[in-house]
Amino acid sequence: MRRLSIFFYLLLPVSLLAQIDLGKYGNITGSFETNNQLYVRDVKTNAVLPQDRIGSNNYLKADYRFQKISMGMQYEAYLPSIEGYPFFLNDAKLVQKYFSYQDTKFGLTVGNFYEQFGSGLVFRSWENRQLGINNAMEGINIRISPTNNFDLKIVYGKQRKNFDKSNGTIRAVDANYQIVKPAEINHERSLSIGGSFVSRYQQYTGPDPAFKPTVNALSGRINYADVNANFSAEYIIKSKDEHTANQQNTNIGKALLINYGLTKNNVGFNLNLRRLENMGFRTDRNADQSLLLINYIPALTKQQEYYLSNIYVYNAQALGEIGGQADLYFNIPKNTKLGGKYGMSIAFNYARYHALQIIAQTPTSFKSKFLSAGKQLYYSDLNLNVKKKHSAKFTSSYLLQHIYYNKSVVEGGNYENIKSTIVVAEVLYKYATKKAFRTELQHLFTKQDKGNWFGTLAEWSYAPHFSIFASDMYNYGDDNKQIHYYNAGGSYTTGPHKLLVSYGRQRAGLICVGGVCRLVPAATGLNVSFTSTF
Amino acid sequence: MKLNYKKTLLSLALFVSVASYSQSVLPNIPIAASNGRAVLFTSIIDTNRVTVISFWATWCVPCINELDALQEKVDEGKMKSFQLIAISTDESRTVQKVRPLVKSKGWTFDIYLDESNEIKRAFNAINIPYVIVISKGKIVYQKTGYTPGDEEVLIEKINQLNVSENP
Repeated sequence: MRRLSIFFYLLLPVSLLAQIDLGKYGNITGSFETNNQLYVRDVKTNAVLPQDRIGSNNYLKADYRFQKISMGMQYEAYLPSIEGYPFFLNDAKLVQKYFSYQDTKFGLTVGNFYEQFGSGLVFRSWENRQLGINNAMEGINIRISPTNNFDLKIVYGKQRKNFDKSNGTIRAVDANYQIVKPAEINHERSLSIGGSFVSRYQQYTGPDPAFKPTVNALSGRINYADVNANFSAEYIIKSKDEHTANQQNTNIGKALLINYGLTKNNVGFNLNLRRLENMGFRTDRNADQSLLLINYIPALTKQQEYYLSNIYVYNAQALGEIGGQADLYFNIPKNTKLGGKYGMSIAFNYARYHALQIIAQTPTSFKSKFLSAGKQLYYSDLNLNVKKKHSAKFTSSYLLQHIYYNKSVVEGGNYENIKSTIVVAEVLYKYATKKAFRTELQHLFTKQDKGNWFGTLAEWSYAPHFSIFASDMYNYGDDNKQIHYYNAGGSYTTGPHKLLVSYGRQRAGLICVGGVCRLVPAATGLNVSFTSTF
Repeated sequence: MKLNYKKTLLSLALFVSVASYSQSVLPNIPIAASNGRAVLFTSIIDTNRVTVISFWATWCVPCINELDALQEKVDEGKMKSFQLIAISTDESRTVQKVRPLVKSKGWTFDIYLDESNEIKRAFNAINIPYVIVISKGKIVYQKTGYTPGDEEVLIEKINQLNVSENP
């Protein structure tokens, strides 16, 4: 009953707000999202069966905007939080609110805000509801742009920690100077340099007199872009920062990120190179999992869309890694022998990450060569995607992928390294103007871990409102237990409102983000979600 | 506190039925062009034409399918004059892939980068793809998700608006 009460109070103000048309006095907009799971017992997968068999995550966001002023709030209700989330909450609260003034030369936000400096490798506050991450800042954010080629950002505040806030404080400043500013948007050469200073203060009450409560990080960056090429580089150095997540490592933190891109005609090339050394950075030295991250360290690999390609996924090693990825995209033009009437798109990606080359080591520190890769391979991933439209009705896509996955490093523990090959074929048949049928066949080959998998999906859609689907991931190669991870459901969409209902099994697995992984347990049951923007 | 199910359902129905596209004030916050130049969002909207904004990402297959379908319609000349702005929500993990992908696809849309997702958040778009149609400075249509055929509905909408604005 309490659950329904809160749900009702979430919906009622939304209903009222949506009716308010303030005309020349601005407008009120917002969004509502509810994700609900009803868990059932499933002995086959050892699925979790929480005491309260329901998980329900709900978010209501509303913003008022009038000329250069905006203000808003976010209300969240976990009744309780769904399984697999990085936290357990059974509560509802108005957790975020803000006031903002934005002009060409000046911007001010007081309250909660999100911000990013450079690539985020030195500072990023962000929200991802699916992953249960929200490290919004609470404090003040100032943007000053005195000339049309200089921007200064100043940030002060604490980070959000579930329904609470961090113990430590962040003080940060970022400057960006546009040396060559294009006269026309999107068309001319651009060159800029920038730098950030991020300082974290957390009181220390322990016995070590040499332990410093402040950790500072400094970064410099350069960005160049013209019509056909772009280059960017960022270097970061961070002071000594012993904390739980880096196992009290005392190394100075260092990171180098280089990006290069080249485009010509229907060809695009991209190269990312990165070296990390002790770059974990949090507002609280005792924080773990995905809590209180100050910087953002994503795995620079291809982000996969198919089920079976998401079983062995790399996670960036903030303590030390060196490697990179290359992408090549090209389109075979229309009306050629290979391209046919509609053309064909091909995408190639290769990523490879190694340990640093260590030359000396103690239990809490190491020395390494800066631009040398160690012998230990953490991950490699080779991808070839091909998509071809054969006729107005028929499109097919294919994926060939080969992975080397060092499970011991990525997941922790002592495991055999995994070599895996994945093949996928996808067919879309648009048999009427607004009706389509899509199917996927997937197979993962491996002799290690849980052996082979077979996957399939069938989806029928009737635009713009209806879609139904059924899918299965069958782990037939596991000698101990062969399991079907089946799912079926449908959705109804009208404009910005979407209702999704499904029933099925979710496999246990790792969710890795920003250099941090957590295990999501297996679950079976009914899922109902509704999202709406107003 | 007591609550009955009828009230809850009534509230839900009321909400869905009245949620109208009444946004008349567009967010006045900076956005980056694909070459890094920062401009205020309001300055990139062509107020003389119908504007379609598509929030997408390089890793989002339905987003790419939708933009491919729209480009095809543009190439076929089936759409009357409109401005199409594709705003990439790729963050630092994938933002470097935006330019090469767009170039290889031969998309002719205006591309902008919303790396910190500030614009997406300001429009209260929860998931991508997310399409917004703006006419005379007001949001007149929004759509979440993409299923094949959605582009036909969008074309109908754009052409209707063009006819009503330029009879």
